[in-house]
Amino acid sequence: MVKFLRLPYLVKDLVFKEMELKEILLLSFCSKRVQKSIKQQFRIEFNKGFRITCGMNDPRMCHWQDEDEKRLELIVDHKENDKKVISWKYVNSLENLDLLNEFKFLEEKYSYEACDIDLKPGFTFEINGLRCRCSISLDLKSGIPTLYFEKNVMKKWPMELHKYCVELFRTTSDLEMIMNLNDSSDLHENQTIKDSYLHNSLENLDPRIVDEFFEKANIQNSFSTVMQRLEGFVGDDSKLWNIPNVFIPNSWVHARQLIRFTGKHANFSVGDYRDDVTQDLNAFLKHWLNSDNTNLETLVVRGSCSSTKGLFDGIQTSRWDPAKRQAKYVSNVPFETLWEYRFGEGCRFSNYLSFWPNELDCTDAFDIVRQSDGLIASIKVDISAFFMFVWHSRFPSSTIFQ
Amino acid sequence: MSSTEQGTSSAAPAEPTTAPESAAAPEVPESFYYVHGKDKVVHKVSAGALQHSALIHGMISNLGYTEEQAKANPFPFENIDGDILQMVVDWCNQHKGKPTPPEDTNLPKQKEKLFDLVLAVNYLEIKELLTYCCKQVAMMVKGKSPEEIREIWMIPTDAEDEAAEKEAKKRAGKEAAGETAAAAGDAK
Repeated sequence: MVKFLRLPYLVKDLVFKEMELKEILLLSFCSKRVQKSIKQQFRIEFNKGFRITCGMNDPRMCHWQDEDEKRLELIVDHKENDKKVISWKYVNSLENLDLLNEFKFLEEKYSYEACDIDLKPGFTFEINGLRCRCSISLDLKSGIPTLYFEKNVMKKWPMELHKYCVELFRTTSDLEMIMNLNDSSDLHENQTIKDSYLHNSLENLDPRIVDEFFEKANIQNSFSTVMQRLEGFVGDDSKLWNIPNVFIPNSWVHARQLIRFTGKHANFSVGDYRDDVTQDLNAFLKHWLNSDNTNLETLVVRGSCSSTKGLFDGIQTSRWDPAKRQAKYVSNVPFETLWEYRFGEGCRFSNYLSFWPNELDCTDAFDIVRQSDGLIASIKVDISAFFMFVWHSRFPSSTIFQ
Repeated sequence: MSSTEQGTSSAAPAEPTTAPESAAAPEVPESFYYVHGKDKVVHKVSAGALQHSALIHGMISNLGYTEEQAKANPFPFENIDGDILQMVVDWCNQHKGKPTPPEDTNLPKQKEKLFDLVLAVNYLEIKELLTYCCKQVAMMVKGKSPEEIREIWMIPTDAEDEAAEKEAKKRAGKEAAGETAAAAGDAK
């Protein structure tokens, strides 16, 4: 037996160094004194904050995990170095919870894999004043614990856990969330999220659900989805328009709403691909020329723009002048990180170039100049896409990414 | 003091003639020192083995004992149980002059002794053994639930901590009251 709390400072330090994050989190649930000791001594490795993944639907999952399982990870590099800390699930009742039965069901469902879990007796603990009763199982291979809660804590648990981990491990409060929008039960009140990714879905969603989500989720940096369609468009007052970096290739917005966007970078598909969006883009350009929006850097609109003449109707344009700006635009966001599903590989992060090199070549672009502040924007159009590059720096030095 | 000379256990070479890394150097007879724990049983350990302990190595360097002086003045470690000191001495002998492998399998396996061993090793400043012991301590709770961790590492619950704190406050209050009464009596 080891009286852990009576170990000298240096010894505890060495013990912590030998433990994994998931073990230290479970240790912290033992008592407030242990929590204090961890806060005083444990140093977390370099990281980019935590990620909460809800409703995984990932074929790479171990068979005893299922679609309802949610997890918390420490983000290190968005690849193999990210550390799974803990998983959790909600059940109707802990009283009658028969985990063995549950695993038996999953074993039958995924008969090609061997069941390898360790069921433990339930326990009660407290985080941030929230008293939690749960059952627990441990994956013997990975050591990842899964907690089983009754549904009454599902509104509070994920965000309280995040807050708790930020305080316990004294790390950045940056939170990344991967979720399904039709299950936003994990957000019960206003929550600041740095980056938000959606799981792929074939279901068409009511846009009101999306607006409600953006109402609750204060997204500080980016929002992206690869496949999630809506039954209409997001609202004009949706908070989506304020997100700095947006990637939505699924016609969530109408071209006439583009004037609402106040972020830095956006890549939208607009309306129906058969709709001609020339007039709406013309209105957008006029709106930008008359605005004081200094945020916008790059805008890509996937839609049909049939007429260059119509696009620049009433707008003064000029061709490239090497004395006024350089030929090639340098994007501050060279890569787009997307959460996508790949057959046979499951869900994973992929980095894509935000622009192909030829897209950034603005030698043949049309330049427009805002009279109020002299800001130049280069406009390029092809049959299905509209590009706008705002020259906040007219002769930026190239980076290695370009 | 009951004195039993040890240090020539089967794992430890009795009298190494030459250090392997200094074959060309002139032969230097190995010096021995003596340590004892709470049980007063004296262990004879070579200076080479004791080099693992930064504390004892420092003491040896500062004292500059002759063989006779060392024998007459064993280093007393009254805060270390005899069997624990024996484990430490055995480990030092086994690893004399050798780098410690990262996964040292020669460490005693008795988990109930691990706590005392860790404290002793920390006190004696045996860095490599301490790292390994801490690894063992961490291993004890791998794959365990919080309830199991609490049991293995003897962590009191919040309620137990609160009760202990209350008790300590009560005791401190009583002691303070006693001291005040005694001081008042003295003043009279």
